[in-house]
Amino acid sequence: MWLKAVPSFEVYTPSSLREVLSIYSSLDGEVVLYAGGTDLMPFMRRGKIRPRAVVDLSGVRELRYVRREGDLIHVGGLTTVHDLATSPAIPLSYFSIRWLRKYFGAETTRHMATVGGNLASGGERDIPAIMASLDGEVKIVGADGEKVVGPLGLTLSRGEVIVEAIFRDWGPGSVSWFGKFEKRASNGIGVVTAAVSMKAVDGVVEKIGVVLNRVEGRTMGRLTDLENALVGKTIDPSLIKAAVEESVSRIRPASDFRASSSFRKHVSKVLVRRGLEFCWSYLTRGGSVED
Amino acid sequence: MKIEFVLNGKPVSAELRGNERLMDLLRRLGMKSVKEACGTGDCGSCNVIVDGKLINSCMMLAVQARGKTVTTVEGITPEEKLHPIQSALLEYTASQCGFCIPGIIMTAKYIADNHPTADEQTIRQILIANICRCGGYTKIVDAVSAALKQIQR
Repeated sequence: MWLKAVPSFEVYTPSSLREVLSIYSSLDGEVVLYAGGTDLMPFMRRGKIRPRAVVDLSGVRELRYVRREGDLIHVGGLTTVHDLATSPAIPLSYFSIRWLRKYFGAETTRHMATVGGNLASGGERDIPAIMASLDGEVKIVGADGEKVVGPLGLTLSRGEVIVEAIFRDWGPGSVSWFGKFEKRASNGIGVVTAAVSMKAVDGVVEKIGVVLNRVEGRTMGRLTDLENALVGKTIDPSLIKAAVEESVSRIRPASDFRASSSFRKHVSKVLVRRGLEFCWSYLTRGGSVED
Repeated sequence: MKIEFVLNGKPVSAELRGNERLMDLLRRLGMKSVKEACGTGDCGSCNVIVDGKLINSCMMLAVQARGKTVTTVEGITPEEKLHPIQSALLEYTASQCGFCIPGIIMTAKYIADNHPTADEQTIRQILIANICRCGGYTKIVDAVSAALKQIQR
């Protein structure tokens, strides 16, 4: 693949969210927000984006935080993946987030890529899947004020900025898992990714969230039929296997150069089953987990 | 546009164009250890340390280094001597064509600074940030392990 030179653009360096919004409103034409650049720079080098104006967000420090308020956890849009994964505000049993250290790119990528950037790039990214499995939401601000949207298939209109991702600690007896199947260790987009979050009380599943990267075509989605089949039940490996077979057989993932639809479907079944088994066994047996 | 930052322990100020990458600026300032290979954040040949964090200088805009502390191989090499990581790479003949080595030295420096007692598995997990197309990974990992022990002493 031939790379092009970085296109010429004007760069703006705001130091607050307010400044970002006012720069946006003062400019015509395409404006691109530059957070970690781990997607944007390769896109520019491949000629997919040719911005005339780039707003460097690295000075907007007010959007770098992971903080807990009650049982809500707020993650600022410019928090790096490394800072999210290692934050003491993340519940210890939320392995989906803490394991970002293992399966999200390399140390360099994690130091640069941001939570907001991962959410904004849409598509089959890790953070939208994890947030969706935890019923998380995303707060966006624009010229018309604030709005809160779901983490899946998120698209920003001109002038909008991701402020934060918000999710709830589901409390005692909850766990969150993430699995990825890909060709080159962690440094690539997964062929199949799955996020499973679960809460069980007194040996019964109270709440569950299951997300797959390709449910229909290239669209990431929750498997609500599978969730409904397991809520309120005491589950075991054979129930998990049957429910996964039933539900995941219905997905229609798109084929591409990395894997065929049927292969993706097979791996999807394996990953979702593993996730459910992990969560159930963690919650009911309190097994030790290799971190 | 003009920015100020600390490069290898010395404050510098530099004129730059908006679309310059940190890599471009560092090479322009004479830091020729910083190598461009893939240009898209996959290979680690351009790795440098910014405010204690290992990053790909091909994906950071130069302007993003304003007010920060940037360290390259030139900054960790003592005058007329070698850093223990460099000595170990030599001793283990871990460098073949050598193009990836500056990036690997910076990753190893990051490991030494943040995980000084890292075992082989941890070293391999972090060195995933670097590609060596000569394929000399085993010797590189051995050399980094030896260097960490040497630094600990």
